[in-house]
Amino acid sequence: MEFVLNLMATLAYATAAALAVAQRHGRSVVVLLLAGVTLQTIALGQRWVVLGHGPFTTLYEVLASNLWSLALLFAVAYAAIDRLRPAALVVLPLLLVMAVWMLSVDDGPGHFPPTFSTALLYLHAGFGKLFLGPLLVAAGLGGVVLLRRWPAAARPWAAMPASPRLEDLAYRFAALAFVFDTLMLITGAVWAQDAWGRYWAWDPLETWAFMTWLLLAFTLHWRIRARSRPEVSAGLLVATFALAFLTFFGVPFVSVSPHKGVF
Amino acid sequence: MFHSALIPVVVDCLRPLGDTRLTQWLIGVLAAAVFCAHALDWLPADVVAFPLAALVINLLATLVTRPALRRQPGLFVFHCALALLLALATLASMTGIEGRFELTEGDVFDGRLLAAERGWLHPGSVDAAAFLHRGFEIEYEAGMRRGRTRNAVEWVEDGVVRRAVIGDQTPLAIGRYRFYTTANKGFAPVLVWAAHGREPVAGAVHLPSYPLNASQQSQGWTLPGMAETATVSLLLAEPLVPIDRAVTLSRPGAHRLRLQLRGQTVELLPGEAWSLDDGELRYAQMRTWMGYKVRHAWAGPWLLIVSLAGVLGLAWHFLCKFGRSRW
Repeated sequence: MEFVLNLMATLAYATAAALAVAQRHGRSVVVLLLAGVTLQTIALGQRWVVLGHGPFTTLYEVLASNLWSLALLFAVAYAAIDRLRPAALVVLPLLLVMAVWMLSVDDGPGHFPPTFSTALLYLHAGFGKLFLGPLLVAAGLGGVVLLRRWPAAARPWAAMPASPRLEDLAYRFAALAFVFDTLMLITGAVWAQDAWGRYWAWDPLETWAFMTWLLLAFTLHWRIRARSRPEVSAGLLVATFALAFLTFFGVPFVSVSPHKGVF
Repeated sequence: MFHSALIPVVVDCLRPLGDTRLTQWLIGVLAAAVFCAHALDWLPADVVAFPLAALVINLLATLVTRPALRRQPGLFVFHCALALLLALATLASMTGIEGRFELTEGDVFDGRLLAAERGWLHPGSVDAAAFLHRGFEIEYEAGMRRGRTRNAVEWVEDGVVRRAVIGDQTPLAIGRYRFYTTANKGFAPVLVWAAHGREPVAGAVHLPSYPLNASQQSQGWTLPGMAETATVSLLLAEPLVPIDRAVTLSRPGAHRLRLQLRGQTVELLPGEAWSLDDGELRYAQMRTWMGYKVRHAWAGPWLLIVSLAGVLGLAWHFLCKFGRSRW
């Protein structure tokens, strides 16, 4: 049942991505995204009830829960801000890739360690989603700014807002992401102090999360200080998202780290 | 008059240090240092301290020499918080201690640590924080996945005996010290060596951590006042943490203790003794031992307050900056 629901959600995201690529922006994209989110809500909710804990431990659970939050946040932003819609051409295919990846990994239950039985987990994970969502939007807009420099790709975006306007919007979302990234690190440190008696120990996930925060700080500083072409800060935003993506979905599952909850 | 003439000179001297182009470079250097410290085992983690220190100097110089930053209160608060965070973290590191020790069930922690990392301002002793280990229970899921740890402890505070159950993220807090249980724990058979004509002397043997070393539950024990070492081995009828079902680990029930000494081997039940030519070696009882981590942590609440103030300042700054215009 869970797989069927996730498959239907993936189809909804795929249809939304196809509409975005075909430049057919509008309410249909929002409806499809929210349909996918609703289906995922049921799937994740069922899993939560059966397992007795939230989706925090396995790669499947982290993918599913972050796909859910990214789709929801982007749907809200897409509906609220017209200027943001070109970013769907970059964001929605990426969400589709995440959805297909989610369907392909083992969805068996993981071990829920005792140190995860704390409200700090929900705060930390929540701020993490509120960080990654705006950063995805910023990177999506940055991706559009970069892609329209490519002659073959420039024509579809000709009627869209100019690159400086898109880059300005991307900067705002990056600033929002930075605030939530900082809160994620703070709550993570509080949780680490609670769970392991130390607030920071440079374990792999902490190290890469800090590097992501540094890169985002560098990007924001660069944007203010350097006043360079929009493509430069757009490129930095895309790189920051790539690093954050690797940190969220790669490092915890390839490193031997207390963040895996088993030690 | 001299004072007012000196300030512009000082500001001019600090201006190059407060250049925001330097900030960009230093952030890059810090990222590179963090990456190298993480990727290269031979490089000490302290290498990160140098670009961090340079960033603090750059930050303080910027705060002094850039009126534009001081005119944006939210941003100013955020950057001041960053500097204060680093100062607090440094002070905490200099005054802190992180150590580990093992404690037998029924024994009182006397402050001695097996290993410790001390800040150079820490007095180096933890003996003010004494407590008694009263045994543990640890839940294991099928697949030998460790669940909750429940470790009963007892200590004296203000003349009153207090008891608690700690484990996992619930430490024992005595003063500014925090004692955490660890995955390192096991069984401790208590042996009593009574040499002829001498008082019996008891000792607990910490067998290797269980179930990590389930198949290697042997340890040497030097008889008190002797140069000989007996090999002590725990014999169990079946594993206490099977792979196919959930259990609660505590002291083993049915078991025997194998003692090897002077080329001889005996197996004893609790309470049984082995008579030797020069004394008697008795297996008194089975206890447990727990490995603890101890940390001296005073800075946590201050770091939290400063970091929250900083992020609130940052949020306020962006709210003022972006809230005025349409997105």
